[in-house]
Amino acid sequence: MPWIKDFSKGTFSLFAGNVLEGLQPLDFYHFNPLWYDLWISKISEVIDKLDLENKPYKEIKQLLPNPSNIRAILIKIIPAYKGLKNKNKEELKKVTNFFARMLLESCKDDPFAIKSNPFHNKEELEELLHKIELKQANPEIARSIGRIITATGSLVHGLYNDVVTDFGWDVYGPYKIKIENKEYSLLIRSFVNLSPKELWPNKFLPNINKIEMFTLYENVDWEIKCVGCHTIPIKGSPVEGLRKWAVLVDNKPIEKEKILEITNEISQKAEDIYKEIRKMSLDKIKEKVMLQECYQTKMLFDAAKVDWKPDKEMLARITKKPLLKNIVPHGKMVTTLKEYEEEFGIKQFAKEILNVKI
Amino acid sequence: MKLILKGIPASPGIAEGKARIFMPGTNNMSFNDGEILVTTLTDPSMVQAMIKAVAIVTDIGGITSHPAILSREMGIPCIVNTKGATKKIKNGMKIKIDGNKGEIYALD
Repeated sequence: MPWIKDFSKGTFSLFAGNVLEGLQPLDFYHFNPLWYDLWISKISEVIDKLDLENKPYKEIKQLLPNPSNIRAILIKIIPAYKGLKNKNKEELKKVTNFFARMLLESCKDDPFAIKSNPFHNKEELEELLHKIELKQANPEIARSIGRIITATGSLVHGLYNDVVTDFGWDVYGPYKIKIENKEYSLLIRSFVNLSPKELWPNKFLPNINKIEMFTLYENVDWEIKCVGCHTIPIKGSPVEGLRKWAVLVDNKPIEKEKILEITNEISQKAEDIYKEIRKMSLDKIKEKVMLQECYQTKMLFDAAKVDWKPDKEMLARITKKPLLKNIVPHGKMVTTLKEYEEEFGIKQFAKEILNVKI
Repeated sequence: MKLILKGIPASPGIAEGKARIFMPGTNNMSFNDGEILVTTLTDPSMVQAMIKAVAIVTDIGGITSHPAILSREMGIPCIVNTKGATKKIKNGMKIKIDGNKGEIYALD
């Protein structure tokens, strides 16, 4: 399954033009290899227990996180490889091949989101659009929607940190659709799992668990680069170009007046939760990040009746242990695909685990 | 108008306003509508200030960093990786942000 080349192209856009100094609140690239081999081993056990290698995506999709989150899992496992204490090649191959296959089956036209995140097929889109009532937009609405995205995105950054942001935030599309002979570009922004009681006490959680936003643009071209939260307008103005919209909160449509109210509630929660994170010691942050990482596969683990939470051995690997060094480059802007494949260990992983030369 | 700083253009558009140096832990309520948020890197604790800002400028980050992503969603200009905006720009300074070119000008 030669997926690694497309993976490399898709994920390169995540790092091109960036300097790895801003990961919040922990540099997970130098943290994950401390314990990832143990987690990968547990995922491998779950794959065997549920016979997942022989099951198609559509049969197990309810147990999996959204596609951007699956990409993010691979984005962290592959660079971590060179720093792992125990390099169990068979397990690494099994786990990464499994997640890659889930993407190949769920987003057939662009599995690694080189330019888009095409999670829905034509029939699914028609069904979705049939169910919702689209309202006429204007620049004021577009700004309000931008603010609720900012608030909800920030809440997700707090709930899950930069570490597993995509667990709570995905964007699907852009889809070209026609309504009354006019062509629009549709984005579906999906914020899910906004109230993870297993990760945070109730006082930090909003009363809302899911927000979906349907936005239709005219003369605006978008690209989704690798993960949904990296949705970039490449032509036109999203504020001037928004034509139709619908926002659903816990599956119910809301009016424009309600957007401000929810924005205020959510942004206050985002602020509170991040202030709490800032108060934590490095060891507490490490524990929280490990818990967040393991939470991504909770549904799979629950189905296999395997405890999803970090075990004692995993915790012992990180407690009072310094972060690793030199796994990926710091302070350096990665500008070419070749440089990225070498610096982030993709070339090495392809050769040593997947037996593929890139 | 004098060019004082350059960075990576992360969200297009042009905005003018008073600069506000804003660090994690600063009271969001003190941020005024129409100000330009200048910080090392935005984080979720600043979200209430971000939604009032007319533009965002950061010392570090790239085109897919937190401030860049969210500025694009709000349709406001953003410049990241200026390597020193919080030192060169002073509180209250009137500045112009060109998010297309990644340029910051002093207007005073």
